Formats: sequence, structure tokens, C-alpha cells
Amino acid sequence: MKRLNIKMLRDIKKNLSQFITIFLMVMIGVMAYSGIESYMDGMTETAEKFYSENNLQDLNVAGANFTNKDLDLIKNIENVKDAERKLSITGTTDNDKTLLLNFIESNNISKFYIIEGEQFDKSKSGVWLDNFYAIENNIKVGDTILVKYENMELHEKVLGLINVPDHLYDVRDESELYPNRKEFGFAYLSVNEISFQPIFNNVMIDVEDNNKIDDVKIAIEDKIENAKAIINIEDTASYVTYQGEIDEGKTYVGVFSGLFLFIAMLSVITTMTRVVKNQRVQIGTLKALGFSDRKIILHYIGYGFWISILASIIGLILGYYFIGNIFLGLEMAFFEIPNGHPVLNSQCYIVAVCVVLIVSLITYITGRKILKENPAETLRNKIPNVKAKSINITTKGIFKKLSFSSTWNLRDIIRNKMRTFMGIAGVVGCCMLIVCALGMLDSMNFFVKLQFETIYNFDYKLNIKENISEVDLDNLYKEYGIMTSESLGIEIKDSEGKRESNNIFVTDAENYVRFVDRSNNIIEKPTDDGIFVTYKLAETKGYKIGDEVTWHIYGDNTYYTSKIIGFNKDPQNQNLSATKKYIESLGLEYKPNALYTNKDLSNVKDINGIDTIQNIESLKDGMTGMLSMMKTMLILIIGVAVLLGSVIIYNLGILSYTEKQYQFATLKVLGFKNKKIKNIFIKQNNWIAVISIIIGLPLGNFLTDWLFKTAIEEHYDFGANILPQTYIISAIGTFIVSYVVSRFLARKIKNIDMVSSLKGNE
Amino acid sequence: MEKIVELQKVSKVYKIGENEFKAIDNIDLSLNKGEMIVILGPSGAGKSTLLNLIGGMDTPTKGNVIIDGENISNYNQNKLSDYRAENVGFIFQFYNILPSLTVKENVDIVKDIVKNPISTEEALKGVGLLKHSKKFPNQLSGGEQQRVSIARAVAKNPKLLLCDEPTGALDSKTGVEVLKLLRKQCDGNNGANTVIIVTHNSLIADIADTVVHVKNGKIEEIIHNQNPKQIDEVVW
Repeated sequence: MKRLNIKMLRDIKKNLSQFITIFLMVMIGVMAYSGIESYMDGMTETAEKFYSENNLQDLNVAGANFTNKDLDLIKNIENVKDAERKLSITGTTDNDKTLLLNFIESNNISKFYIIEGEQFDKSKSGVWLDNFYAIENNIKVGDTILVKYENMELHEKVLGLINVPDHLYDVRDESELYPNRKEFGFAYLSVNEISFQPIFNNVMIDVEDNNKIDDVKIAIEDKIENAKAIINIEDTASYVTYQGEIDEGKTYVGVFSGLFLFIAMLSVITTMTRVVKNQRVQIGTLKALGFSDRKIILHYIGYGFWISILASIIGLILGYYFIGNIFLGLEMAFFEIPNGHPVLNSQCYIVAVCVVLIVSLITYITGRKILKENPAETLRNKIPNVKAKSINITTKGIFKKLSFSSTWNLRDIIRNKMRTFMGIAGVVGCCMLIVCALGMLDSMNFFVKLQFETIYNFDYKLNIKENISEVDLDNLYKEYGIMTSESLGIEIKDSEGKRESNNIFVTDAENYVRFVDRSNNIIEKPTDDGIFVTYKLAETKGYKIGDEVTWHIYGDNTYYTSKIIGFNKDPQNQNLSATKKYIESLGLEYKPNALYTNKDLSNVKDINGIDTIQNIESLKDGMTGMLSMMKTMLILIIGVAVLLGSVIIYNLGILSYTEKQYQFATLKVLGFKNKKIKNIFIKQNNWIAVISIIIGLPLGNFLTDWLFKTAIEEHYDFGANILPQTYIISAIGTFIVSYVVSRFLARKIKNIDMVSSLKGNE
Repeated sequence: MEKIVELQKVSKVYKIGENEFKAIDNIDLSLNKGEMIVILGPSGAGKSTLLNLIGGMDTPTKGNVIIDGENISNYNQNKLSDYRAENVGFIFQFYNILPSLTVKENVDIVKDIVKNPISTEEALKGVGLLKHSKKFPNQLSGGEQQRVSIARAVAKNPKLLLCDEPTGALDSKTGVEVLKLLRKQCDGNNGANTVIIVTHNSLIADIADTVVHVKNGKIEEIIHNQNPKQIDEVVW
């Protein structure tokens, strides 16, 4: 086999550009797949490790004041492994940053991961500070910071910079999407630091058996009067957002990398088939010499095998180190979690092995087909089997009027349907990816506009303190107007008694917070005789107008049954909405927790009775911040799509060029000018590009819409909203790539040596 | 004389679409060992098909192909591969040497399939190409390429050297050189080697020990030359 191996190496060298494109396509496909997969698996594994090593709680119990007795009762509930109390309050710093202050007695649940500094010790005076917040505000271990809560002021030395497993993602309130670590962070202090009698409003619970967690919840509801809301950790913002990102990514893995791999494989298969078919006479010669079929087939499998194995290995390495690290790095800047690293799991290796096997199998099948023929037959060049009927079409009707070059190209396409189909499939895929990547950006921008210009129609949102006095509230109304809302945490009970966390948005904000329909048009606010449900929630739950929803507010076990009177679209939250009057008609007291105003508050830092002042622009910035992370990922995807597209177009172009070389040489002999031949060649590629674009654009829209509907976290409701210019850019971009590659290949025409080309065909 | 090839009632029918084409039609033929045999006929007469059947490159639709006492008609593809490897050397009109291997490597390749090949150097020396052994086929003239093809066939030390229009792509002078090499092969090895040449060039027939005339898939005539011409006397 030594000489056959030499032959293989020389054949590869001789057809280097084809093999380089095969190599690149396999490599890019495997790189895209393993890169995205490794970052997703990296996120999953990093979190799982962090959650497990730092003992993330299973349940959060919120309440008014958990006593020692309550804690003991909880600890004694069957299946409860451990429980810890904490007082969580929103404080500020001397430079008006917001800090979520947590006063704790011990740190065995949701344990700190110390980035720098010392372990938690109840007896120590100081603060363990959110690492991201400290970095953003340039705070170091040993510095002293001032934290304030109402009249309490604490000067605390920073004892440690930490990550905490239930604080991977923290935003000031639900209207912010992107964490602003410069303005908002978390801090942990010993309960001894508090100057007043601590009122523990939170208990973290670690259970033995997660399957019996509902029994624990029921027991707490029965035994602990102070428990207002019992929330599974899986329903908390930090956990949900992180998990949502993974779920989102998993769809990307399936779609983007799958598509990359699929397009690459289509092209590789076409090329390998052609490579082997072009060796037909040599296969015949080897057979005539007496080489066994097995030896010949092994020799040809080697062509695909060695190239694809090398490309797969490099693809895996680049995927891990390049794509995986970049994407994970972007995520790790968003989520506060230590030791984030990509992970290449067995699936990546399996996919890489499958790619190698598929390429080898295709080579085997093609080789086998040729080998099945008699050597005498194999030694004759095979003329493509074309049905006379299909070629005849080009001689009739409007086809008769076509120019020579068009007729020639049309017949060439008919003779080489598979190559044409693969070419179209490859370019369609790339066009789709470009439309999808750009379309996702368009759609996100559209939803920023919808949320912050159409639905939100105010300049400032004031978050009202929970314990605000009547007097302070009246003063607020007088000063800033009476447009308010209340968000209430609720549990919805379905017909089978299954309960699910959600919230109800109670509006008394007139047109400061508006409602939109499916087509993003503003609709009337809910009337006072029922509730509105967001479309996506309604679809998930199968709600129809007129159906009834049973729910209760956390902390109050009274259930209410409300009639659905309409649907509204909310890009960010899938919940229920009602008017103040409707809520009051149920006998509930309306206690606003947000006030909306258009007054200029740019110079106002503190308002009595207000926790935080949020500018609509800063809320928008938060969303734009999230978009910028997405943008980086999408730019990478577009980059890879264009690269892959170029390689595929180049590869198919070179295939088509190689196959037509003899015919071009004949045309040259006949006296055709190089320019004319170049035009014939470019024309076909242009046709393929145009057809692919026509198919690719709507498919791109479809893919974007599908991705938004399935990949985005459950609480978002996005759809494709792609601007016309995006289609134009994608179409022009795809066409330019195709045209440039065609022109580049067409340059070869002038170098065709008529004699050797014609001889070579013999 | 000892028979090397015996064809008994051999037919070969090709199907082209719905039509059948009889390339070989019920042929009986015996060829002697150690002879130089020319199969002569016009284009489409069935000469190449006949050669392919003898060489195990194709199988008959009907009849028996017996080579050196072995009926190869019912051999499966594996057995036919072994048969070709051990018994047959092919020489084609368009040389069919492997373009990505050097002259030496093209001859060397038979070592992968033959148990007792003759040395590559000897084979190349025999065709006068030793000094070109490191060249690639595209660096050689047509005649030189055909000589590589002969060296490769000869290196297998085959019982049968089957040549399909070996001079068809060559000029007269180079063609004569090639024929000389074939004659040399035939005369060597104590008369154990048989060379069968398929050609449409009737002038070549004069150098053969036996000439088989083929027309329309049938044997028209078999002539045994008592005094074959010297190759140098042949000009076309």
C-alpha cells in the first residue's frame, strides 16, 4: 500500500485547492459545532459545579419576620437538610449606588466563592462584596465603604470579594434586563453588624430529596405563619436567566452549528464524490493491474478519511479554544460565576467522528459504485446519463431564443443536476444564516423600540418603597402625578391543582404604560371586569377569551377566579394584567409600587419614599447592553457564514470549472475569446446565486422567527421583524461573495492550455 | 503446442438502453503459449472485448474462457483480481499509468500485488527508461509513457501480456520500438510468455506468429505465420 499512499498524497497535492476546501469546510463545520456546544456545555458544567460545591439552596422562603422558632421548625421538617435565615434589604452607598444588603448568621447554604480575601465569619466586622461590583467601582479588599439603609449608616471594611451561587445574575428590578454592575451589586455582612433588631425576611432551605420538595413547601405553608412566598430556586431570576441562556444556546447549537455542519457536509460530499469519480480511469487501471477491490476502496477511503480526520481534530481544537472561549467569555462577563471554561463533551467527539465516517462512507459508496463495474467498463470515460427529454426542453419554446451562453449553461445544469443542487443548497444556507444573524439584530432593535417607546410611555419610573406612609405617597402624587402600577407575585393554579409562579401587573397608569396587540398596535387598556393575559402565556396554557384563571397572591391564601377579557403582547414578561378597579372589585387593596412621570428628574438623586429612580434611557441602555453581547456573537456567526459560503462557492466553482475545462478548451480552439468564455462561466454561478438568494431570503426570515419563538427564554415574546434593508444587504452580500469568487476562478480560463486540456480528457 | 487460451462458444452481449448489442458472437478460439498473437479487425469488430475477456477484465455472457487450463468464466471479482494480478500484464493505447507516481513508482506498484515480480530496475532497464525513473509521466513523451506501461506489465512477470492498440497513439518509429519490446518479452523466459496484441493496423499483423481476424464479433480467419517479418521491416 506504500505506493498507493504516495499516490494519494500526490493526488491530494495535485488537487490541493479542492482538498483544502474540503478540509476547510469540515474544519469550519466541526469548529462551529464544537465551539457553540463547548461553550454551552461549559456554561452548564460551570454552573452545576458552582451550585453543587457552594451548596445552592433548593427553596427560598420570603416572609415578614422569621424567628428562631420558625427556623427550628423549618429545620425539623422532614426532608429538610439545612436552613439559614437572612435579612435582605436594598441599601445605598455614599455615591448613590444601590447594594442588595444581606445580613446573615452563617454561610453554609449558598456559600461564598472567595475571589480574594477571607472566609465568612459571623464574628468579623466588615463586608463581603460582589466581585463584579467591586471591579466596576474599583474597590479592593481592605478598602472601607459606606452602606446606608434608611437612617442606618455602616462604615465597613471590605473583607472579601465574592461570587455567590444565587447571584449569578442580578438586576435592580424586573424592568432592567442587563445587569448594571457599576450601579447595582450585592453585599453580605454578619448579622452582628446591624444596629437594630434584625428582622429576617428570607430563609434559604437545602433539601435532602428534590423529588419531595412539594411536601416541604406544603409543610412550611402549614407550620410557618410568617412564610409569604415559597419559591423553588429554579423559579428565581438568577437561576432562570442563566438556565434560559443555556436553553437558548442549545437551540443555537441545533440550528446554527447544525446548519453549518449540514451545509459543509453537503459540499464535502459533492466534492468527494467528484474527486473519486474523476479517478475512474485510474480505478480501472488498478483493477486491470490486479489490485483487489478491497485494496482500491481502502485507498480511496483514505482520501476522505485523512483529510476529514485532520480537519475534525483542528476543528475541535479551534472550536474549543476560539469559538468556545470567546462565547463563554462573553457570557461570563454577563453572569457572575467563577471558573467558567468551555467543555468538549462526548457529543462533540461523536459528531467529529460521524463527520469523518460520513465523508469516508460517501467515498466508499462512490468508489464501490465504480468498482462494481467491470474493469473494462471502468477504463472508459463515463458520459453523464442525461435523459434526452430534459435536454430537449432547451430546444423548444422560449428556450429557442436564448443566447448560446444561456443555452450552454442551461444544458450544463441539466447534465449536472446534483452539482447544481448542492451549489444552491450551500448558498441558500449561507444566505439564510446572514439574514438570520442580521435579522436577529433587527428584531431585537425592534423590540427595544416596542418596549421603550410604544409600551413604556414615560421618562422616569420611581420604585416606591414597600413601607411608604400615606403622607409620603400623597406627596409623591402631588409632585409627580398619579400614574402608578403595582406588580404582585402570584401563583396560578390550573384545573389539576398544579401551581405555578407568575405575577400580575395592576395598572392605574393610563397611557403611561400601554398595551399592544399581536401586530404591535396600541390597544385599549383592560376594562374593569377581568384580566388580560399575554399572548405567549395564553398560547402556552391554552387560554381563550372567556376562560377563567385561578390565582392567589403570595402571602395570602385567598384564591381568586378571574375571567380573561383580552390578550396583550409583552416582549419581556408573560403575565396577567388588570386594572386597579378590577383588583379592588375583588376586595384587594391597591398598593402601588411604581410611579411613572415625565418630569425632568435628571438632577434628582433622592426622593422620599422612593427606592430607586429609573430613567427610561438607562432602562433602554440595559437592553442595548444585552444586545451588544448578542451582537458580538452574531457578528462571529455572520463571519463564519460568509467564510463558509465563500469556501462552498469557491469549491463548487472549482468543481464546475474542472469539469468544464475540456469544453472551455474546445471553445478556445474554436476561437472563442477568453472574455466570452469567462462570461459563460460566471453566468451559471450568477444564476445559482440569484436562485439561492430568492430561496434563502424567506427561509432566513422563517429561521429567525422560529429561533425567536423557540430559543428565547419562556418569558420573552419576540418574533422576526426584519428590515427591508437587511434583505437587500444579505442579497447583495451573498451575490457579491458569489460574484467575486466566480471572477477569481474565471481568471484561470486564460491559462487553459488547449493541447494538454484536450489530451487530458483522453 | 501447449494451449494458453481457449475460448469455447463465448458470447458477450451488451445492453444499451433497451437494445442488445452482440460484441462477441459464439466464438471458439485456441491460442498457443509463447507466441506473439495479433487480433486484427476494424473498429467495433469486438477485438477489445475479446482481449478483456481473456484478461479477466470482463466476463462472458455465455461460454467458457479457459486460461492455462483454468476456466475463469465463473470467477467472482476477487478471484478475477487475483487472476489478473498473477497472470496478466495489460498495455493500453493511452498507457494508463498513474499520473501522480514517478516512473519507478509506477513499476514498483506491482510489488503490492504480485508475489514474485521481477526487479523494477530490470524492468526499466529492459525498456530503456532507467535514467528516467524519477520522472513523472507528464515529463515523458507518448512513447516513453508506453514503455513505462510495458515495464509495469513486464515487472509482473505475467503469463499473458495483453496489449490493446499499444501503438495506436504513437508514431511509426516509436511504435516499432514498442513492438520490439513486446517481441523481446515474448521471446524471453524460455518461450513461456505469450503476447496478444489487439490492433486495427494490418501492417503489424506481419510480425505475429498467429493472426486472428475478427469481424462483427466473429472469428473470420486465423493465420499462422511460418516466417513472421522482422519488426524493423514494418513501417506505417
